[in-house]
Amino acid sequence: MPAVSVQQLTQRFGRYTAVEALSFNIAQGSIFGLIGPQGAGKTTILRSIGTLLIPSSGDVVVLGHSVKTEAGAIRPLLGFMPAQFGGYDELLVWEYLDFFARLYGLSPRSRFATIRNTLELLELTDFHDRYVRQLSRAMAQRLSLARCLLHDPELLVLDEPTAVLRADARKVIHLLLGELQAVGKTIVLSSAILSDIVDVCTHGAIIDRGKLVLSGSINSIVQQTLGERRLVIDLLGRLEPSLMQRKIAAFPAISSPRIQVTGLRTTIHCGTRATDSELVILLRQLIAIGLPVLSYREEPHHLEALFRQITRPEEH
Amino acid sequence: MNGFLGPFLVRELQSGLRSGRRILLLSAVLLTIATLFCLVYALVHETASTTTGDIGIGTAIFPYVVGLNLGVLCAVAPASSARAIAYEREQHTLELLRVAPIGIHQLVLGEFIASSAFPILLLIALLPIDGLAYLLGGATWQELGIALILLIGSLVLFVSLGLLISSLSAGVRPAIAATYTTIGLLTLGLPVLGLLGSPLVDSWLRSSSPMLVAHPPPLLLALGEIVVAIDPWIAGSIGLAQIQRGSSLLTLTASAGLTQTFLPAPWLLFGIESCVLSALCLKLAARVLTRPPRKLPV
Repeated sequence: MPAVSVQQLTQRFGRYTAVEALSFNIAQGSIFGLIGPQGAGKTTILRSIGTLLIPSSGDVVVLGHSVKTEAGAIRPLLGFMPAQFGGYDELLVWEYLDFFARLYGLSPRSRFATIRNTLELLELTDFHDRYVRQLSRAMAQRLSLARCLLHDPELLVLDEPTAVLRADARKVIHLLLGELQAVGKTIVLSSAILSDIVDVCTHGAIIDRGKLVLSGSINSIVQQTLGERRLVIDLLGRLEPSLMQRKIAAFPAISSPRIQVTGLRTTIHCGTRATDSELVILLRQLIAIGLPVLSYREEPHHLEALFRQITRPEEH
Repeated sequence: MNGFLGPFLVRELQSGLRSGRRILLLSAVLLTIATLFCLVYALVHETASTTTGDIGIGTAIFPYVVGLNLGVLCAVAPASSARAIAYEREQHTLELLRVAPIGIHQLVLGEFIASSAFPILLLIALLPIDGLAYLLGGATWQELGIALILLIGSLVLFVSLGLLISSLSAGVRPAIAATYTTIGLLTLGLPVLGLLGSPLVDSWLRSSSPMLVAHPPPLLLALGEIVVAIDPWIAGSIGLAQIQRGSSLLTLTASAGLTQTFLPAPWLLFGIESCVLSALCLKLAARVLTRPPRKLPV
């Protein structure tokens, strides 16, 4: 049984459709990332999983319970962290956690031990008696995660948990999510930063304008996102571009070639879907037809740029 | 302590009642009420010695004491309750409460208890001053009972009304302004409207349908009383006047011509109305919170 099953989920707000006929499953024990630009519908999906929104149509089944009819059964099993930190300024950090621990029905004996252990896990012990309003954004984010963990939920739903954090603080959260996965928690999170998802998630889905673009394991998403490899081949001498275009056209494995002549060199920029071994053969063939190949390199992929290509940002 | 009410009350005690502002407010209210009490005492003592003689000073002071308590409630309860849900929304904590394993009615009830905490504390702090009116002699148990119903009814009504407005508001300030306006209209607007409007209505009725004035149907009288009894000041004034006249405490007799109509006493009606209206307000507040958003939440 998947931890979460999103079934033909549609969410409408008045005339605006935020999410349309979306279906995917989230396996138990996985870290599932929802990737998409701002306004793609990630938060709407997370709120639907978190029982905050009732689907306009379709359903979301969380740990075997429908959000439409059994929201009450889902809530004790769920730790929900919204994108914006929700805190009571006048409370101390331990009081804040104590309030939620009481709401989740923790007994007085276990409550204090749980709060102490959670603060330790999140490295917040030194902030035990600070006011919530005195915390930095990174610390507030950690406190928010601590609140989610108090009642030991099976499923964590985290909306952009690292959005406002610096790289080092992001790393800390990523490590922690890895530890939580290792103890069997299922984690669903969202991010507009692809590299964040690639770093921490095992599975994911790319969402754009409320629709599913891609889903699956992170490796398969990266492969599909990367698509073509970009090659840069340097040739010795100033060669005639049109002649070069004709010669390269004979190689179907090479796509969209662009010839650039600079100084005493001619450079071919092109794309290919060839594997490593196919690439070796291709280079041999280029030399065999008499091209003076001086060097060859692969352009590094810029994940975010490719991601933006896929998700086509809103036109302004 | 009830499983879901406890957390809200503890949070209120930890945050709200710990703040210096609340302690300052509590001290200011007590000082003001004590000063007013002394002034009223001095005034009543002087008047009583020259005119009413045999009536206990406590009896004469008692209505003022109840009035002062009602005034305190009018001043404090709206601010306390109007802030509740709107503040949760401003602080982005409403979502956290909604995903917690408590129902929406429990959430509203929890906020209700938390919002009532400070006004209740104020009323308790005022008890020694209220007690003086009793100790000075003359105030009866019936008067105390009516006063208690008026105060509890007002507290429950003002807090629930504030919570409903709070659930509808996006921010704390508009919620507080709207709640004060509504309660102001309810407690002050109604008597003003009655004072200004009743001679006009009366003269119009006398000219258009004199039979209606001579023999008003009981339903019309009951309807009029239901409207009037929603104001705790009016309900209280009539109740205390009934005690002082020695008439029945539970009924009010309306005489028109030869016909006499028996209606429930306004203080009793106020108690019932405040309970019904409060339950309605809390139910509506819960409904507002579960209403699906019409706009994409940001």
